[in-house]
Amino acid sequence: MQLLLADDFFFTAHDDTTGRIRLSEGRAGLGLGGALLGELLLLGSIDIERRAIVVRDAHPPEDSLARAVLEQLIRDESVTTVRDWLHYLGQDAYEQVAQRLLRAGHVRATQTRKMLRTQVVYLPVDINVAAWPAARLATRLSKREPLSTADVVLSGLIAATELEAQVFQYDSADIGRYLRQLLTTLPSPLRALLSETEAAVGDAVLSHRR
Amino acid sequence: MAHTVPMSPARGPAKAKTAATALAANRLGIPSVTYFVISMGAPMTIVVGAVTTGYSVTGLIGIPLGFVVMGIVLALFCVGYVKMAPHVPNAGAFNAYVSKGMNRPLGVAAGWGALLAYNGMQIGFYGALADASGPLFRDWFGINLPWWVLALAGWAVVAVIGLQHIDLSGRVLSVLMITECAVIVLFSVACLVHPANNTVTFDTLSPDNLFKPGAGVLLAIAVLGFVGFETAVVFSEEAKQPRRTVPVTTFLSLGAMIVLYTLGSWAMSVATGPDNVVQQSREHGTDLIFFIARQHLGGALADIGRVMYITSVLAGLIAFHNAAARYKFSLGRERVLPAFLGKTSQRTSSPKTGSITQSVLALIVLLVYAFAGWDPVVQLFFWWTAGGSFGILLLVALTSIAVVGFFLRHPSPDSTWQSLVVPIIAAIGCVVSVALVLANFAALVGVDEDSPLRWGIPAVYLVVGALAVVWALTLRTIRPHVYATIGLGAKSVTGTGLGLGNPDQFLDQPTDSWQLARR
Repeated sequence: MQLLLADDFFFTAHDDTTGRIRLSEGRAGLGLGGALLGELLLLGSIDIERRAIVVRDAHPPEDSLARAVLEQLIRDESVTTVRDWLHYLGQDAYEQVAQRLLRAGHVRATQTRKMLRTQVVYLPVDINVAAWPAARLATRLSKREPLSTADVVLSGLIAATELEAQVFQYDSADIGRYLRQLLTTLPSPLRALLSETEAAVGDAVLSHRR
Repeated sequence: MAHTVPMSPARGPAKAKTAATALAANRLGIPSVTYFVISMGAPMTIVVGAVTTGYSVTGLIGIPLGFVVMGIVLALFCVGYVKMAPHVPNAGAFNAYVSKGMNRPLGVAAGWGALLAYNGMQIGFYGALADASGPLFRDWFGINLPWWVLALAGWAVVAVIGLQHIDLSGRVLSVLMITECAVIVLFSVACLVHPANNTVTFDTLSPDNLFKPGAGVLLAIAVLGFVGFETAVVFSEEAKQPRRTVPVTTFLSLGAMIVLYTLGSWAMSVATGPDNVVQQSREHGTDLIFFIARQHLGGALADIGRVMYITSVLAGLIAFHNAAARYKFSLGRERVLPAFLGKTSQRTSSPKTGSITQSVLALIVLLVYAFAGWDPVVQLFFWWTAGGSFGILLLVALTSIAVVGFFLRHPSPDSTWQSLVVPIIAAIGCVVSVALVLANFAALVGVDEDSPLRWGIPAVYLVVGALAVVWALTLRTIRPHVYATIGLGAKSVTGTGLGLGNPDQFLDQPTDSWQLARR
């Protein structure tokens, strides 16, 4: 069973057993925002030209979240750059993708208390489902097997958000070179998406605000 | 799929927001950026620490004039600097301007030089911290702590904060900065209404000072005060209206700093009398202004001033620590420094290894100074910050030439005046300033002409710059893809190795959102 790109990224961004998130809120948002745009690119709904998003096919996608994102891209035409959309989508992407996984029955919401604050944590319902994206990538990458386009984008997002060491652990050094080789074979809009995501993650480090 | 799901099921009201308004709400206005820029200059530290130490080490009285002259040169520099900012992908880093306006090897040299300058400046500030907090501990708690205990305590605070990705928030900064400025103005007024010999003199502001030996020293001390003026452009991607916020903020903060520093340093000389200011500075050290304040304003206000001196140094330490860490991160990302420096913390998005290496460097220097028993004010604070501000001045000069180079190749259609005439004048001013500082370097650090420091400190920049150029040329041969992204900082996109499009094409387009391709 194959999940959507952002769902896959959501699981790789969390420890599959504890459900602990592996990156900061802001960075997770950028990664998930990138993944949501990636879903639309893979569907052919949008394209990226000169660092801006262009709508190619306004036909609504099947998934309701992808549909909502596309509708917004069409509606808010004053905002065009991938950079701005990443920042905008990044604000709510975590919650939205979690809700999608919740509706599909892949995660359950539990409340935890952390530093006197009550927080909702999304735990995987089935550990195998949660661990599958990372395991799938690790196996294929380490055997130098071909990957689906969606999986190449997923590994690109993992690299862009500096998650490689955590997701692939001992294999990461070994996998790295082949992964980068695959990335260069992606169509240029998808490469542009990954570049923009990595640049946004880096700019957030340079930002004077969290 | 049977039902339509709202965009943000978790947050009801969010449904109505548009991307444009949501992004705008998160952007910064003129006041927040101004607070940030001025606080980076650490006004109290400059007026209390640098000015007094400057008077005593150099024996020159023209320090107030130095702020005016250097302020004007930097203001001229900023005309072209902010005009070029939208064309620079990594605005706020001098090396990005040099890479784009001149060439990549010099860009790498500028990057390494900037890192060195900020390193030096940050480490030097620990000396000021010890100097600021020592008297308070002595007077309030009756304990006489060695200076290095205080410095190390501050070091621990900065090391921890540096890893948290906490830049003091806009609100904290605004409170600190406004109080600092108010204290400086109040103290200055107190000085001016109680002039020595009952006459307000203008000797320290007289243009004569520029033609006496050692004029370059005045400029170097002034640069120290203005460091951070270049940071407003960092916010061009986060500002509400980049084309307005950035220039307005830059000139506003520069103007405010010129007024504050000139006023503070001049008022001090009025209170002591221009003929006595050097001798009094030597006698009282950095306590001079508080000594005067205590006489005219009372002990309570003097104590508030001393507390503000501490918070000012701490804010400066944090700001410089983060600046150095960010330079390391950017250069590590570009792969012109080892890639591990580009590593970040997943939890806080802070430039983790850049921050840790800065803390380690500072610790080593502090320990060496502690064991060697060297003086924290002159030998740590003044020498290191003077060395650092010389480096910043070098970078400003290099950048000023890069600005001219850029606009010669990409003439601006709307204003030759702003893009060429003023930048050329500014470049001449900056280069002359560098030459003057270099000529008077011995006087600046208060050593003899034959001291190893006299040429040693400037030579460090030369050596590092030369090594950087060699390294860049090596990269051009062995790693052309790394060479191609020099100057792009985080936008060099070396993690996935994909790069952000064709760098040259990208570089020639303004980077702010409003100018990019429309549908």
